[in-house]
Amino acid sequence: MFPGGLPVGASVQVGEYQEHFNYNDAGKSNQDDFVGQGKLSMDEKDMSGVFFECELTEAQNGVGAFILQCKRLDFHYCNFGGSSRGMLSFLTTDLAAFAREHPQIEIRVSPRPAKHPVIKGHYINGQEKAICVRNLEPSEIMKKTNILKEANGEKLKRTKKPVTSLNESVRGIWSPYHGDLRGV
Amino acid sequence: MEQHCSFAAGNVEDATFQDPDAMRHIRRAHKRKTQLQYPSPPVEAATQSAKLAALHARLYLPSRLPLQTLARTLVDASADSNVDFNNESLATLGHDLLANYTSEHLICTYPRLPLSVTFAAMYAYVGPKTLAAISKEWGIDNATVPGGEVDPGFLQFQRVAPGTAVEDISQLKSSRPYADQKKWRMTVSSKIFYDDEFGDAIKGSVALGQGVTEETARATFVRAVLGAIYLHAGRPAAKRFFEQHILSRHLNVSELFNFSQPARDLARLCARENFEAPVAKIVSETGRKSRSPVFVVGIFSGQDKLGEGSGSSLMEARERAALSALKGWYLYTPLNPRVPSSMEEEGAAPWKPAHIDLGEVIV
Repeated sequence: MFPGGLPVGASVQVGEYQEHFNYNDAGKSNQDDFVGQGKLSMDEKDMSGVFFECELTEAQNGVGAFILQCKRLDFHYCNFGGSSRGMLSFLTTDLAAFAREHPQIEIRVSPRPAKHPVIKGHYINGQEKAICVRNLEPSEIMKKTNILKEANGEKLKRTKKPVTSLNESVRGIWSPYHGDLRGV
Repeated sequence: MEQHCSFAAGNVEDATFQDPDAMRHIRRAHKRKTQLQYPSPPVEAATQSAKLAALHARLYLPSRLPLQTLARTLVDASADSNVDFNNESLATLGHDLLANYTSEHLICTYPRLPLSVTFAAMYAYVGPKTLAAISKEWGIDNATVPGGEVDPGFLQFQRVAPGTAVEDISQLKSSRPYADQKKWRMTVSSKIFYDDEFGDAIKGSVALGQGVTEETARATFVRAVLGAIYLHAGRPAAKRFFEQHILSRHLNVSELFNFSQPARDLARLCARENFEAPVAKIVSETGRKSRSPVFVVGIFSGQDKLGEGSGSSLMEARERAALSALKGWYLYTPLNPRVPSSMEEEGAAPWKPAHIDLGEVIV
């Protein structure tokens, strides 16, 4: 009946402290017990005058829909410079197939005269990543393109845990106050 | 002399007609000039936009939803007042679908949820703030100024003039008597009847030329996308889109509660449900005489333990225990909850009535 309630185990130690609830203020009818719950917007206050911030749902990309974080790739090349030779070959031979495989990425190709060739990735979080591909072969440029495609736009950081989750641990946290009594 | 002049001019024109580059430039300039007349991009521009095609693919939209409709969902009523070209009608449909799907999910999953918490959960799932965040996570950018020459892959809306009080943009359209009396107490149950799905007063649409906030425009866009999917790809596709993009988001409903007197509420609840009166007992304690004691208090109704909490004083631990007991009651979820709209699926199992609860305890 009470999914949150636990059965009373042998470990329960009934102390000297007991209290029976009485119906204090039972006659006072109000619905203000859930003050500020309707919409906890910034201008609403609870009884103690504390400002609430409203709860919103958080995105979990990949739970349900998956949105590729790379939204645009810019390819810059130079028609004259020798460092763009591999890039020009990549643009003419490989890029069309890449674009067909990844329709969710907007692709722009534009000249950047007298400069080294560059690939720039634009991400949903507003960040931009650029890789210079001077003197690279088309196959190497494809690898760089894939790096940009798979990135999420955030700065690279070390992850220490294999899993990060918004959900609470199913097993719960160990408590020193529960379990069998042991003599010291 | 006049004759000579016109002859010369004719010669120049002929030369221009034969130059393909010049003609391309002239045609482009002419097209741009005609596009500039429109308040929003013309329909044929939708198939030319790489941005729009990428958005279509990024959201895995059904192929039956054409790019032209997707372009229309990005045009707010403040940018183009023509109802044939803006997203107002699609957003109205999408809004109703969102409210329906979310409310049936919440009510069937948490049948005992207090109304105010239901309103807060509705706001968390499909409130304008959340929808605006969703549109950002879809990679939608704003057009600086709406117009016919803008890439149709941008969200187009007219912004509110700086310094405008945002609350006063749209007029109150509530049917509640004395709705303009903001300080009067409104019961939660009256909000079901008079107010919108979040328990807020219903507001009318914004007056023409006033502009809208970015949050409103983005929320309208997300609603319009759902409406467009419903119209073009049908009910199952719209439901799937809702589940994948809205319902899959994380929300801890137990954080929405805010009891002021949990012990009193629990006592009333037990009386209503004919349970034995709740009793608080110490389960465990340490350091009573120290500066950092810990008490673990359980709340019992007869032999049943309703909840447990810990705190550095007995009162605090008791309050927390009562809180956990109340949350245990209100957050009850039936096994495998089904929603009424699941009956619309092909080959759905016969409907079993959903759990309907007495409701929250009134003290």
